[in-house]
Amino acid sequence: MGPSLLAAGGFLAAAVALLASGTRGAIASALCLGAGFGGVAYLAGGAASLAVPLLLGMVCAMMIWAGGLGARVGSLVWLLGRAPVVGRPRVFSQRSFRLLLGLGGLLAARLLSGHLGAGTISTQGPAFACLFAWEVGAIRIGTGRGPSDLALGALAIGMGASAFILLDSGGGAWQAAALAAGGPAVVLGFFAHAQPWEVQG
Amino acid sequence: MSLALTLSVLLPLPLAALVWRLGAGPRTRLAVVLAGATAVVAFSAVVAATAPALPRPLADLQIGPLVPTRLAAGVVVAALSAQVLEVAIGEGTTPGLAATSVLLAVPAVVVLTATGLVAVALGCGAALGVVWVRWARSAGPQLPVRSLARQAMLAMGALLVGAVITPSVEQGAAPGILVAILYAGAVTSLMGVIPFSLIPGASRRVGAAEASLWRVWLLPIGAVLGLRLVAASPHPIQLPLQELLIGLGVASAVFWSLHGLVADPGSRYWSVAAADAGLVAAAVGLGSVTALGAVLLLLLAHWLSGAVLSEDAGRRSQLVAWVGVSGTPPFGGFAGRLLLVLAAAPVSSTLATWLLAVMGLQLAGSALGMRAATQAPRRPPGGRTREAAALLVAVATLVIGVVPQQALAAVFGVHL
Repeated sequence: MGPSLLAAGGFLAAAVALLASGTRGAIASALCLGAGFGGVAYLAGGAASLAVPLLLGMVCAMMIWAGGLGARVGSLVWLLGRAPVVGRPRVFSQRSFRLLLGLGGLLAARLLSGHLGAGTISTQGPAFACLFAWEVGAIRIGTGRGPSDLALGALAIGMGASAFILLDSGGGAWQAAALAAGGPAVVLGFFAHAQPWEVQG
Repeated sequence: MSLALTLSVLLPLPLAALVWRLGAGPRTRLAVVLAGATAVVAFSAVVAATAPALPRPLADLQIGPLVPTRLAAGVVVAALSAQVLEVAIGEGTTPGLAATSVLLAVPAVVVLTATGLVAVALGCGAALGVVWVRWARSAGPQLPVRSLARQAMLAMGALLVGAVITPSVEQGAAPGILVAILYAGAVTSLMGVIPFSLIPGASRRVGAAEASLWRVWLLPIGAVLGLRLVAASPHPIQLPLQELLIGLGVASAVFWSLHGLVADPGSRYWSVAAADAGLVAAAVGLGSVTALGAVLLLLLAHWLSGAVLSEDAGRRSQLVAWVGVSGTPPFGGFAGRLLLVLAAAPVSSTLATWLLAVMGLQLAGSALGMRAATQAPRRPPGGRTREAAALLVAVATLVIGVVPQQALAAVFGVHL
């Protein structure tokens, strides 16, 4: 596959993470981010680079799925206490608001992507995907209404950073890349079932 | 050496569980003191061989080794000691708080000693995240607590993204200001400086003892991380980062020192502490050796006096502690702020003027605290031993201003 197609895969994965909601959305986001940014990383280090985000995405998805089994222990009341879930009317629904911010993020990523260099790779397309993932992460954290949203935002940032580290190092810095994506992946796996602070208004 | 360092990173985990298990009371205090003593021994073993000033390179995209430094050892040991003081002197401390504080030593060691910025980013996120979980347990998901959760994720993300963009800045392709904004966001997030000033608000909701986690751990971690970023960043990032930290720090100091004048007596200390956090951020931005001395002296003053001043008024020792942090010459708060003005004067007379104005406002706010301490009805001191310890700590806040060089050399190994 060509670089443009792989970069487009990264962009689409970030778009899924932007719009997904709920536990199934978190699982889908983890899988898509792993596959999408594995593809982006593949440009620099081949199959070894592809494996780092892909495996971490799959591990994260399995952690979320496993956390949903067994009497809803994942609500994490024992750790965080009981969260009062409240709703309030808003002008835009949460997904519409994220979409609007994401459109602005697209423009910013387009403008900035030409200014990033990563080793010997032609970075315009891959950098665009990574930049968009970072913006998606910031949007999800900024608009998040519970620990799960925040952790998913961190995973989007971590996957984008992981892919860019692999691009920059030619696949050599796989430990740092695994750490960058693995930390947030574990956090999302742990907090995906936490009670939200606020429900959709 | 690596074995000792690994032990010092891993030891807090079982110790935190032990503290949790022991429950409230003297046994908890003993366990925390033991944890502090263990850290002292471990770090002493590590730093006795070699003690570089700051570990470099920080923006390495590899994980990089953990490099122990005398400064890092001093910060971790002093923070653990400050938490021991909080447990010994403050009211409302619980086993959970003590366990959390011991646990925070793990991300603190990672942030203070790691050479790779990816590990530092995860350490920062973990430190903020641990405090968030603790505060969410005690106060529920109120707005300042939610903000701390957002800050944890944003600080981690900002450092990660900054780390991967830094090579592009070194190549001259990416704008340095972009990375500077990301780094400044992470540092101010840890330090509770504008635009991330949630600490005084959170202190009202979670209580003084819980809020001490910020004063004891997050503020010094942010300050040392900021110093390292300023020292290790390439020039296109360094200059805007310094300007951002100075600007945000002074703005925060002015705001919170004014707030200290109108705050109710119960939360006045947190306004004064938040203003000093702003001064620390400005000193981090200045980046000189004199400014480093200012950072460490102000941290030391609040480590010592915070446990006494964050309680409700009515203790005799509070008057002495207020004098210590107020900026009254020649005591601890004064020495720290004076060093900061001395560091700023060669850089900008306007900056020095602003800092002098903040010194005056802090003195006025602290004077209100002194008056409240003398006028409040006397409360039962909670035992003579506890009051004697509080008085001793308050006197120590006075003494560090009289012998600042010796204090910095003894605690941090820094020679001005």
